[in-house]
Amino acid sequence: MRWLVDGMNVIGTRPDAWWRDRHGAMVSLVGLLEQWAAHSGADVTVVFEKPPRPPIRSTVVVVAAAPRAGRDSADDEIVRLLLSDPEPGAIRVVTSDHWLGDRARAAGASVEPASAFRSLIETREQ
Amino acid sequence: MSAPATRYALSGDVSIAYHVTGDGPLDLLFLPGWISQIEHLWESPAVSRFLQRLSLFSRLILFDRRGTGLSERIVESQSLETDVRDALAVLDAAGSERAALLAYAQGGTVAARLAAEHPQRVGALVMYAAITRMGWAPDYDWALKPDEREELTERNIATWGDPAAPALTLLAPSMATDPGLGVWFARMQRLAASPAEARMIFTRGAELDVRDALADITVPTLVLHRREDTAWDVRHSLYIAEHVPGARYVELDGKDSFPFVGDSDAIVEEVEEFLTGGRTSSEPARALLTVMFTDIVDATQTAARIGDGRWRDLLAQHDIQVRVELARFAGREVKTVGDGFLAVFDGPPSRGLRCALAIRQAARELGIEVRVGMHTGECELIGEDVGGMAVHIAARVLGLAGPGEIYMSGTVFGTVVGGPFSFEDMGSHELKGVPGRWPVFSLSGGVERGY
Repeated sequence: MRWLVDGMNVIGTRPDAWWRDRHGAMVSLVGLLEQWAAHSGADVTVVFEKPPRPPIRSTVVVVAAAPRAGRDSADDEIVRLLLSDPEPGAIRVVTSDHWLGDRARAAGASVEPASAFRSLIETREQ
Repeated sequence: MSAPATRYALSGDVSIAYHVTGDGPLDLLFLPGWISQIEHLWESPAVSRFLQRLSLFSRLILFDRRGTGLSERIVESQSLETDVRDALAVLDAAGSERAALLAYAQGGTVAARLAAEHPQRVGALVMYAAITRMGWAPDYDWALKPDEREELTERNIATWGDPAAPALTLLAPSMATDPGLGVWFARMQRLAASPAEARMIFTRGAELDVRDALADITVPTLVLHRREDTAWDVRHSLYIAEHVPGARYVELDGKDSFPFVGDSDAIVEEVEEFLTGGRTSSEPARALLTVMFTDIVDATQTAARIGDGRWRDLLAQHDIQVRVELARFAGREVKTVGDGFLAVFDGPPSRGLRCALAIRQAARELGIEVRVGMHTGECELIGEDVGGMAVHIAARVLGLAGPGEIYMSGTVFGTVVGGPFSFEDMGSHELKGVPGRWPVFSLSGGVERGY
């Protein structure tokens, strides 16, 4: 199973003052995803609304972003990735956004709610 | 307060009309329910004041749902999904990365879904008499059954846009007989939707149920409801409070459903405290207003001369005329005082002066003389009432005026001097309870150019 993660949507599920340091929250999420991917062997791509500045690099997960920030940019990027994938049925999209979820299902992928996914990766962390 | 500039957000290719006002440190998106027309919202003193108070601690954002008011009038494309997308489009257009949500009635369905699905865009959730399921179910038996809802809808549609419609007895019982609110609400209905559109909006909404979303809400949530709300059963809110993890529930006194009717300050204060941690606005709001007192001269003698019955008729005629002129010159009646009125004008004081001339003329046509006292100054806004030194000064100025005279403080004179009015300097006077000496002027004759 390959995972395509709506990054800010997952970050938003925990009101832990992440908005005071968005970049820091993105770095933490990538860290969590790395640990989980390393343990589980999952293939993970996290998508942000715009390329993080400074860039966030990882050798374990793919950090992707919409080329330009904008309305629904991360959503559109996730859908673009799905549509250009030869095997979207093997992809699970992580988002709580019903609208994005519907578009992902229409492209053949399955969908995991963001808060459930967050619990999953945080459990693995321990 | 007048309405902010209306702007449009694009949601897909649909135009959504929205307002942004205030410059507080947090963004607050208000979801007022079924129908609205955002420019007309500000026309009601009660609503205007409610919104203004919210905007004292926030950047307040509001919009008309698609299918109503100034937004694209396509009811057919209305759905919970489009409501959510439209709200996000408005937040984007307003440049809001994260906003707190304040939802009333049907707005609750949209707010719950926004908070559950887009937690990165929602800082906090406040549900006031908000609804997450419309219709009856065995485990939701306080809501209306389909036939009850249909009957209510048909009753609403039958009297849509009629100021005498009974809708307000459910939505705002404490002010149901207030003619101002009735006229305002009826016009709101007419501007927001035609009867056929309204029927479609209510019918489409009858099936709404977002209860599934409640358990997924992780943002801080406050649930408010007035204990004896006559339109929405308090159990709608109890359900939300029980199903949103960590939600705080506060029950307030009162029976009005509309948040801006009744003790709206209590609601604003709860919202403010929840969102900011403090209640700065418990200090009365203040506004620069022109205060006008009118008074019928020799009321007692006239009453004795013409008899009580005729006097009562005359008084009623006088009240009607004064209200007509107040409406004409955009004045707001605060209350009647004795046989006269206390009214206020925002904006240029010249409107108040023209109104005073018109009231004097209208009274003369009834065979009575009035006198008027005016002052422009900072007033405290206390509910619908006004207070403070400025009101006191206007009352003292009235006391100096004789039959048929329109007196004003030097402050009013200073703001309109050079305009079309002519004045007589009445010298400086001590005003009881007011420090210093006050120049007083009399508005002589009429306006040089017609009014």
